[in-house]
This record gives sequence, C-alpha cells and structure tokens, in this order.
Amino acid sequence: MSYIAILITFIFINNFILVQFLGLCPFIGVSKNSENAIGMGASVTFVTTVASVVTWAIYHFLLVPFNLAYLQTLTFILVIATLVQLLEMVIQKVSPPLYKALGIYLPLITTNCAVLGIAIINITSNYNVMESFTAGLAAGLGFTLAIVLMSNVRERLDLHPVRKAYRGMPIAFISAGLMALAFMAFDKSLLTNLHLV
Amino acid sequence: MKKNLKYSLILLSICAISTALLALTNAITAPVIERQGQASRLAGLEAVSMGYEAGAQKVVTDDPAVTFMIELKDDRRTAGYILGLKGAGYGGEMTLVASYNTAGEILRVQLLSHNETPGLGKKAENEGYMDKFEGTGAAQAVPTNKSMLNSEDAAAVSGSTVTFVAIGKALEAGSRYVIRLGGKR
Amino acid sequence: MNIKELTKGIFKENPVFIIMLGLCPVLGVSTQVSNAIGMSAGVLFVLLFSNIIISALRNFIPDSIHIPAYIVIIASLVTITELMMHAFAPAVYAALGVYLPLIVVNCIILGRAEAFASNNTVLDSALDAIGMAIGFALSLTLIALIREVLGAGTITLFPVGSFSGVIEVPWLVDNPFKVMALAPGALLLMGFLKAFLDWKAMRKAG
Repeated sequence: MSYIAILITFIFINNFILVQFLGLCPFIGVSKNSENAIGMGASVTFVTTVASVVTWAIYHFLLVPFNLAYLQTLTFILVIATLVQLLEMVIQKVSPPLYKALGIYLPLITTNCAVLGIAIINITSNYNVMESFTAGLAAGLGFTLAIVLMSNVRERLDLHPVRKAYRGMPIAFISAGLMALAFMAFDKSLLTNLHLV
Repeated sequence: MKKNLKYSLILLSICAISTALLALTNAITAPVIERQGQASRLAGLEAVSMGYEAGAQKVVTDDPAVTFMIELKDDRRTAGYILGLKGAGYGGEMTLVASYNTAGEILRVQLLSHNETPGLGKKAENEGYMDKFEGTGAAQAVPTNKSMLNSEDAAAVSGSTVTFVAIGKALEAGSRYVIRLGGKR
Repeated sequence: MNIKELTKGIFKENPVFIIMLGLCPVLGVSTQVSNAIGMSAGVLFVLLFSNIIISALRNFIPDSIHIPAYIVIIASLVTITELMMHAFAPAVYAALGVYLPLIVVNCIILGRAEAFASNNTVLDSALDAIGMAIGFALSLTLIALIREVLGAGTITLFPVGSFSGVIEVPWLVDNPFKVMALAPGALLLMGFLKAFLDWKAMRKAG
C-alpha cells in the first residue's frame, strides 16, 4: 500500500476511535474541552509514531530471530510503558513549555489501547518500517481529529438543554455515534476511486 | 542503593517466572496451532481440487494478488492450477484458494480467512456465494462490479460491495495469471 | 469472605455500565454473540488469575514498582489466553483479532488490581474478580445480542452436533438494520442503554 493510502486508511476509513473503538477511554474522558483534547491528541500522536517504529524494530530484530514471537504482547506493553517514561523525562529536560502542555497526559497514554493497538496492527499487516511509521502517525492524527471534533461538540452541548437522563456519558456516546455515522462515508472504495490501490 | 537492587531483583524474578510460564504454554500450544493451520489449508485445497491430482506447492512472487500455485494433473496432463489469492476486503486482508482450468476459467472458489462484518461482507461465507464467479474467467469475464451481475445476484451482494469487488478482483487477477502461464508453455 | 464482593460487580458496580471501564472491547467485539462469549471467557480467566496472583503477592511487591510488576503479570496471563485460544478455539481467536491482546490495557483488569486485589485477601479478590467478570460478560453479551439481532437478524452461538450454531430471526434476517452491526450502531446503542439505566436509577432515587 502506498503511504498516502495508509494515511487515508487510518485517519478516515479505519479511524481508531470512531471505527475501531481503540482509545475510547480518553476519547470520552478527556474531551470535555478543546484545549485538553488538543494536548491529548498531540501526546498520543507523538507516542503512537515513536512506538510504531520502536516496536517494529524490536519485533523484527529481536523477537523473530530468536523465535520469541509469542512474547509479543508482553514486550510491546513494557516497551511502550518505558517509552512513555523516557519521553516524559526527555521532554521535561529539552522543552519545559511542551512538558507543561503535555505532561499531565503522558502517564495516561501507557494504558491507551490506541498505542498497543497500532503496534500490533503494524505487525499483523506486515508493514515495513516506513509503513509502520506512517501508520503510527496516521493513527495518532485520526485519534486527534476525532477527539478535537468531539470536544467541540461537547463544548456546544454544555450550552444546550439536555434531558436529565442523557446528561454526561449518554449524550457523549450518542454524539460519537452520529460522528461515526458521518465517517461511514469514507470506505475502502474511496481508495479505489482515488486509484491508490 | 540497596533498596533499588532489591526492587530490581523482585521485578526481574517476576519477569523470569512469567517468561518461563509463557515458554511452557508456547511449547504446548505451538504444535497444535501448526497442525490446525495445515489442516484448514488441506481442507481448502481438497474442496477446490475437483478430484484432480494436486502437485507440489510453489510460492509465487511475481504477481501481487497471487501467493502460491499448485499444478493440477489429470493423468500426467496439466488440467489446471490451484492459486492462493489475497484481496483487500472491508475489514482487512482476505485469503482465498481457487482452482482454474488451463484456459483461465474459474472452477471452484473457497474463502479461507477474512475479517468482514457480520450480516454484510460475512455473507461471502454462505454456500452458493461463489456460484456467480464459478465458470467465468475464460469466455465470460469475472464479475468485478455489480453491473456485471444479474439482478438476483446483485441483490445478494448489496451492502457488501467492497467484499464482492475484492473477491472478484482477486479471482480476475488469478485468471490472468493462469492465462499468462499458458502462454509461456 | 464476603459474598457482597461477588454480587457488587454484577449490578451496583457493573464495570461496563456503571464504572464504564474497558469499553474498547465491549464495542469492538459485540458484533456477534459468540465473540462476546469468547471475549468474556478471556477476561474472566485473566481477571481471576491476575487478582489472585496480585493479592497473593501484595506484601511482596513494593509500592514503588507495583505498576510494572502488575503489567508483567497481566500481560503474561493475556498471552497465555491468546495462545490457548489460538490452539483450541481458532474461530473465536480469529474473530477477536486485535482486541484479544488488548485485554492487557483493558482498564478493568489493572483497575481491579489497583483498587481491590492490592489490599484484600486472596479469597475476596477472587470473588471480586468473578463478580466483575460476570458483570462484564452479561453487559457485553446483552450489547452483542441486541446488535446482532437487529444488525444481522441472527444469533451466532457455537456449533454443537447437528445444530449449526446460528439462529435466524424471522423477517430481520432478510431486512436487518445494518447500521447496528457497524461502528455507529455500537456507540448509539451504548448511549441509549446508559441513558435508560441512568433514568431508572434516577426514578429509584426519587
């Protein structure tokens, strides 16, 4: 698959949140205002991109040669947890303003399904290292797009009367469902029509 | 310092025990998984071989849609080929095996694995789904879009066009591959 | 031993509808009843053993390294489940796909380890795990049942003997509401079910 096809696939067609439900917890939890949503989106994109490349390398240079593919889940989650810690320290040293902006979201990312999800999907899809990098970036961008759109919807919802039983979670899920309905317009035939596959 | 060492040792021992347990589980399950993969592949090949004698499997690398080929023999004469095919369905990659006669006509198709949505693309599992492809490829073109089907078949694939087109395209690529093979001989 | 630890997970602290944890797999695999049952079995196994092991080791694992230690234990249990399902239930394994290894980051498991197993006895932790897993299984199966019946007009169980494993619902099988089988249906259904439960709770509270 071409890189553009991968970008379109993970941002629109198989959007991590709205189609695959990966990363749903932060999507519902951190989408109350758009500032937090952008911070969370940026942190996740950063981590999915770096984690995609690192886990790819570990799988192909360590697990496969030593016949240890069954340790995949265990290694990936440990690598991601370590990576998140490292990133936190590096960002704190290199760019205090960035750390101030992203710091509170980073610890939450270890248990974000989206990160482990993209690492595993890269392996099952047989992507090479550049394709994994692109997929990681695209998955993060798709996550950001969905969470930022959602935060805008919820900011508007705060100003509108909502029936009591629907307040909070229920209306958030229903809004997400309607967004997912809109995303159904993007399907695989989009790639065919654009002559990308 | 001493505390750090103790903590590291505790973590290390947990990791070691876990890895040992996993290695044990893997040793038990790996042969079962291997046998299963082979059994399902054999069953798939059996279903499409039409009673011909199947030759050895060769890996195909010069066509993006074809993964392997097996020559079918009828009394030492080449009767056709079984091809392993892959297509991009709605839920990801699908794998198929299909048999062709030497003219590139599709004889039998079997869906091996897919990831399609229940009620929609999953219909491709149904018996009779592949009927619309079988017999095409030589005199008649392989249907790769809905307008090439009669109204009854078109209704059957509505809602799962992506799956249908993916199967059609993979089968068409296989047919072209077989025709090219014939030209080489 | 306290029987309340067992029952609280089913209704009062239902992980899916009340605490709202571990929703990715709930929505992701609920397209078919058989997948929901497979996923529930996986979660039951992992949750039960992670709670037992973590509670047994609660005085051995120091506080400052408890998160990585828990993650290693949980990830190992998930891998064992993965390998076992791959070997002995290949159809379910294929259908669960990426959601099976993702049990590792399922917030229910780490959440129960942190909140309960790390400071309760082994027996209470086991009961807590069973209760939570039953609550999870019931909610997941309910969602899958509604989605499959409306979205595909079928109920897919496991084939036994001459029974093919698929029950067809008359009329709906020919005229399914396809959107229910797709992603938006899952999110909408979750929203309406949660609203219904909140409404019931409010009525009860007066």
